[in-house]
Amino acid sequence: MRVNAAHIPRLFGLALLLFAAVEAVQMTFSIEGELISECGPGAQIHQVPYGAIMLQISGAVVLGSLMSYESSYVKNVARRFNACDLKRLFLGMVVTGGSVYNSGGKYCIRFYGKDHALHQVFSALSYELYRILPSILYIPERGSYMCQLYCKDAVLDIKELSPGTNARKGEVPTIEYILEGDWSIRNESMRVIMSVSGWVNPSLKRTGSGYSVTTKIGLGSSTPVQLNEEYQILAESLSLKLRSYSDSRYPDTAYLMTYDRDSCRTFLEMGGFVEDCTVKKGRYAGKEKNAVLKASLAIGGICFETPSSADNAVETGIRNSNFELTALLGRIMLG
Amino acid sequence: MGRDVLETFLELCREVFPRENIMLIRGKVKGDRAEVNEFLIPPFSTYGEGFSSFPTHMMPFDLSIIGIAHSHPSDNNNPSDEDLNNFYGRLMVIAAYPYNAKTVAAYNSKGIKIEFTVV
Repeated sequence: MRVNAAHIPRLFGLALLLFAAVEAVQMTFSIEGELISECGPGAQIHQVPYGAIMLQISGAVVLGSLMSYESSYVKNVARRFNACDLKRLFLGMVVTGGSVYNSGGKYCIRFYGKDHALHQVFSALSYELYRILPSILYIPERGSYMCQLYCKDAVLDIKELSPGTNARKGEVPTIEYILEGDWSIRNESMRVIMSVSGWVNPSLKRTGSGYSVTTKIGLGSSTPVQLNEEYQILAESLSLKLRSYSDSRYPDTAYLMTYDRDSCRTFLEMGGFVEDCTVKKGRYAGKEKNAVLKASLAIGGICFETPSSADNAVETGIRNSNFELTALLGRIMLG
Repeated sequence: MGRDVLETFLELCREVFPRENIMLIRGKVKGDRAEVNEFLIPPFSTYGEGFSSFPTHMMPFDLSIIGIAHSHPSDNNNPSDEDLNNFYGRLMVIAAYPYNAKTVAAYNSKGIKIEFTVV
């Protein structure tokens, strides 16, 4: 059996756990033997070292759980992709939601955001690539999280792959390295990038016979034009028709957006947003992005008499997002 | 609505209680009056404890179907949001527990209660 470096801590934790279990069983039998042999009026019962046994077991459990700490998403991608491809994902996260500092002999990558799930992904990805597990800080004033990775190798990698990734100089980063990857890693990178900086927004539209829900997904809000174009190339390579828009208040920036239901559906079929990413603001704040996207797509073609009934339908869809809504769509359902 | 027709519907409502019954209404609409002749069991219908449904693509192309009737397991025969969102045809009949002629109500597509007589 081949064992790579990633498995060693987990095997060590498992070995500790097994050792503690064997020790506990052995101790139980030896005490039982002593009790039988010394069972008599003047026999002294030895003090059973339960404390020592429990200490070993709990220590092993804690060590084991700490060492096998990993985001389930990263566990999944680490199984599918090699280190080069994982670096593409890492680059996507840093370019979209992070910053790089390397002044004064310090090498640091910071990742910001309000999604704890994404910080777990960043942290686990850092561990997978550089064997450093950065801790996640919560900043209550901003209601957001921050993850700081102090790693020279990581900083040098990012600087090599995207020289413009430096928040202080205001240069434009690039995701060319992601664009060079094959379809599957571009697909995963798009998911990660959309999870970090993308959004989903169901909105009501007045039609001749009532109200209907339209779905729009987008990426970024004030992305540098050059990077936005690269995002668009990445999206187009995955059959996502995202159009570029710009806000006149912020020159030299743009963002991507689409109302196209097919593109939204394609994105969902790609895997959608990373699990547990939530909508940040608006009526559906706090709801899982995938659930909102699924629900709004599912009821997209239906006409509602009032805005509130449309909103209720979206809410119900989000609550029941575990069910396959499309299977229920061609049905008349009365409550 | 004929008494025996209504009784057939109510009997099926009692039969599936506490789940909800769902049936198609066959009849004729003349101006602002409708005559209910028959209740039909929709193909592949599902009777749930909080809902009842059937796939629309399995509905026969039958212009004599003028609405849908269903039951509520509670004593409330008012249409819910889902009922109004999925309104089909010209009228909706809702039977509430304990499923007798007094607990049956009919509604139009706006959710307004309409009078009906049992003959």
